[in-house]
Amino acid sequence: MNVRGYEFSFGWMFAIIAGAALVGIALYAGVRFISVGQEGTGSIEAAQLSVLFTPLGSSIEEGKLSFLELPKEDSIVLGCSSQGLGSTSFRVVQDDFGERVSGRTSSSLSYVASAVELKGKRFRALTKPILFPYKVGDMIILFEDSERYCFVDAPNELEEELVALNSSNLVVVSGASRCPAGSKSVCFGSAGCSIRVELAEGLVVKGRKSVPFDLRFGTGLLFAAIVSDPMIYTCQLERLMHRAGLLADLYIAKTNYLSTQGCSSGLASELELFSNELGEYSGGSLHSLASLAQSIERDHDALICTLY
Amino acid sequence: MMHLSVRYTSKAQMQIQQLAFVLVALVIFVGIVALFFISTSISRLSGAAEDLKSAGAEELARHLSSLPEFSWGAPRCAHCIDLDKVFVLREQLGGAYKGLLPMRYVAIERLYPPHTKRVCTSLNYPDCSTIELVGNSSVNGTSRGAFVSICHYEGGGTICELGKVYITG
Repeated sequence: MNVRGYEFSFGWMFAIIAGAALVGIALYAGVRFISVGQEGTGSIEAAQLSVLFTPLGSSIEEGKLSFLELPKEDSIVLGCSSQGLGSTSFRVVQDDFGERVSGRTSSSLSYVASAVELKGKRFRALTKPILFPYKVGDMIILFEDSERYCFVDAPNELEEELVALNSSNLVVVSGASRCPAGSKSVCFGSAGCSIRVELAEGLVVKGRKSVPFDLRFGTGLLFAAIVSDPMIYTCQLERLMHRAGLLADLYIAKTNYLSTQGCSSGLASELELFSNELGEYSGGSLHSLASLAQSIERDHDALICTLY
Repeated sequence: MMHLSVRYTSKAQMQIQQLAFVLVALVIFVGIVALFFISTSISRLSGAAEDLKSAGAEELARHLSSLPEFSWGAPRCAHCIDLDKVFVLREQLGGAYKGLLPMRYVAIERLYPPHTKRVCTSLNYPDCSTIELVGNSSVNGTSRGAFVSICHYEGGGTICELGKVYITG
């Protein structure tokens, strides 16, 4: 029998091995390149969010529910640090071949209250000023466009504000049973909701966790406490307290300077007390701070050379 | 004693050499293409980073007056800058307020009515023209500016002037 053998030369072997290695390297480089590109896009989106949120109040219209839209469906992961002025960090996380790649940026001027992770393309943002009684910053309350909050038996003042926002995301009803299916119910005093607001105690209770608020600082803290993850809210509140303390010190310096110009305010001692109280705040009720803030507001209103 | 040796024909040697040349050429080609892609993507990313930096600086310059540390205060003038407040803030920026303005240069200049051209210090304020909050005028980089209203108390009354905010990201 005559069987013709096939000559598997060195040239062929070399070409196959080298070719396989080259294709392998090219594929790996391609995947890495796409991954770096995705991370870059994530970083740019995160930085854009940071720019959008930074000088506050102006980028997103105050007191209105605005839309935020990402170029595609992604996740926004929020972080918060309360060291010094603290910062809010934004990570835009993208899925890349089953792997999660992200870009990160942070801002020391923005206060964002939301869940730790938000998913989707469209988000809702409500900006509310925080007044201590002077403005400390704007709280941006951020949630997914698909989320619905159902406010049960809300007090009149709050109901008017919610109705004025004219949004299908925020519904006001009387009786928890009237809440739309799939919405997060918020009860004021009564039971039977996933979130309970104790107006007298100044607490928002979510399961076993509760966070403080006080309406004398504006409704921003209440909305933030309802929507936000308790950990994020507590961190943002600590940052606001710290900044309010710094502002109190700034107003003390300003009133001292104005005294040399013949325009004394007489508010220095009250502001000093407020600054100390803010410095000592370590969670819990905001009642005494709010009372002190109210007293400063009353005295400030009577001034000729106002401080803020 | 027996000697073993492998003999390649000159044709086979030629083929191996050709293959080696082709492979070297291929590696160089892939390297050039990779370099081109990397340099393009890096320049695109650094361009985007630069754009974002200047967008941030521009936005901050336009809205600096909305920060409570700068604001003259609503309802008197929501978008005016409080010069007295900024002057006392200048001394606190290195300490407790570190990180408030993460820029290389931030300054506020009083344009009209004109003032003696000099940087404000505690010795010459308010008879000066520029409050330098971060860095000084020798800082390199493209500066973004925005016109603002600046108000302060002088002689028992309020004086508002035209000014400009300069920010280098």
